[in-house]
Amino acid sequence: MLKSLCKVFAPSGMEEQMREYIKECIKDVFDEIQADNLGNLVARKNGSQRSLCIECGMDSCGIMVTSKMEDKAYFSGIGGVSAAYLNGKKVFFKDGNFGIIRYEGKNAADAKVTDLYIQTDTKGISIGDFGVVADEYCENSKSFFANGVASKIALAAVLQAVKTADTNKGYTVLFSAQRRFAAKGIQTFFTNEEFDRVITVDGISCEAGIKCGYGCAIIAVDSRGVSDKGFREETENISNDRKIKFQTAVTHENMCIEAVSTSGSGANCVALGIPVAHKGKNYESVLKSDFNETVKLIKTVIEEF
Amino acid sequence: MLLKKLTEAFGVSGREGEVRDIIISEIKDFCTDFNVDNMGNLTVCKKSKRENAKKILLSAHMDEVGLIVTDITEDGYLKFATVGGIEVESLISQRVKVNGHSGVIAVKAVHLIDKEERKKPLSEKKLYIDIGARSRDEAMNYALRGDYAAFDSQYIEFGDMIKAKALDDRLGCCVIVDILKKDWDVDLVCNFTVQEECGLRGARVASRGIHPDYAIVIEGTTCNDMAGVPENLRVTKSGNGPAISVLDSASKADCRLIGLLTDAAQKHGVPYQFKASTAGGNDAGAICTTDGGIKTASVSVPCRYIHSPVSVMNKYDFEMCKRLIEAFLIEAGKGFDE
Repeated sequence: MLKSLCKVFAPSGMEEQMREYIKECIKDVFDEIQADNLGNLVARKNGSQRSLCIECGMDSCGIMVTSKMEDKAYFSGIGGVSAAYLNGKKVFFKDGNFGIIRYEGKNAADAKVTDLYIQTDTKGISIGDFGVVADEYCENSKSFFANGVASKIALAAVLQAVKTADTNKGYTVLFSAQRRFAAKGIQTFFTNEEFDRVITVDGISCEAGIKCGYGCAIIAVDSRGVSDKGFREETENISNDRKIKFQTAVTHENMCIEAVSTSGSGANCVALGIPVAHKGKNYESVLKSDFNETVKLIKTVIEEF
Repeated sequence: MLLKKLTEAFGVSGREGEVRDIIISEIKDFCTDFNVDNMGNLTVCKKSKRENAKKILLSAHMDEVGLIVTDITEDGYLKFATVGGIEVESLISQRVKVNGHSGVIAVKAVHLIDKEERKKPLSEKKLYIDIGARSRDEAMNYALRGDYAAFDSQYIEFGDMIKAKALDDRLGCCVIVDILKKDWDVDLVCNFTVQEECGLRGARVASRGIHPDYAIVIEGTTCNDMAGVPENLRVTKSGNGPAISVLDSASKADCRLIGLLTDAAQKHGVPYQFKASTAGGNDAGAICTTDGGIKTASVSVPCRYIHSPVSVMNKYDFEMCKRLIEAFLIEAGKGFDE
């Protein structure tokens, strides 16, 4: 599934193709699947009353063309794009056009986005067009590798969990748009919705105590918010009972706890992070064991809470 | 002239009353109803006679960047902090108004600045407003801590250009007022918002509960088509028409709405350009996430030297901005030929 997800064109704000892919993927699981005005995809399963929402992003970082001259298209980054790792990368546009990112300076590590351009046939490209750095997926027995895998791994885990979860209980899944762009989709959705419990899932850097191979990271505190302590401890307890490997963690990254927990009249939120090695660099990687433990944990939450 | 009145009015973020009063006096005879909310946002409704008409939200902010008095020195000078994004260098030697009194922003004379000091970046902490007082007690007759100061800058036309303070976003207010004076086959809701320059605060409140089909923010935006700026870094170009933003730091415009705007422009022969940068943000960032999401886009007039006392825009771009919005409303009135 991750391989297929990596091929879907979905920079922040242009998630149409991903929405269609997800709809097709989950159509047999949910009773209602709808998109809102911002592009969020909301899937609801009817069942005995409870108030649980699982959230993950469906967008990825990308670029937007800001000007073009001859065979050069200049661009800005969308989301957390690091210029230092873009030189020589292939960029795809929605209609299949592509180009190669070039840097004329000596040390690409010093490059700013404004120093870079895309070498391409600019006749087929307009100012305002979005592109994504090609996700060249590969895997071995232990790990997944791809550029931008951090933005797709949580989506893969949630899709796998909802497809395999066995429950008669109702719940909602938000596949949020523009998550990499100031969590706009989350802000939009939770303003009008009330949930007792919300789980957000995303890839998280292996750093500051978060280790690859130690299972899903249950985030106590991120850069902007605090997971609900009671809900977090329940999640940890059930993981212990089911022998699901996890690590409790504090991170400097924004896992969107604040965006969820301060929306509407407030929600008890816990963030889950799938450890990603080399996040933001070439060929991010995720251990399959961490991915599988996260799927198990999400599935357990859906079945038990 | 309305734009002159609006740009010369005092309206630093949080103190927009003077601007609001001008707008109300202009639109009160042309609308169905209007309302001022607790924050100071002005919402004006103009319903069409057509049934099932599209509901369009137009939004412009009334506030401008400025200064707030933070302290008064013993010898009668006003220390200040900036309200909204202002380049400190642009403040030196400028005239300001505080509670209707004139003042100038002063800094140590060049003769008295030593070599080392000249190398250091200028901080607003080194600047002060000279309000003509000789003591703290005398200065307190003119201003107190927490009072606001606005640039004191006249509206002037030169060549094809207009120079004024607060073109961002009195030009947007002016466009919407002119639009309200005409009849349309759409239900218009027009928000004149407060406190955009310090965090899109007004729009967050004002856009709730409207549920429009589409929202368009009308703005002033950065224009750096000046000597020395490489072609690929020019955000907008003066004289090339209004700029449509695809993405900025606060919002991603709705793709379908951009298509409707560009179709309307082409159909009615109105020039436009796309903003060639993702820097900056405006009320669209707050509007697009409201009430489960509102399809939003921004149309802006390129303004050189924006957020300074001498913003400059092209008259043609201003007129074409108005015409683009009118073209869009005409097409919306026809249901976009859906």
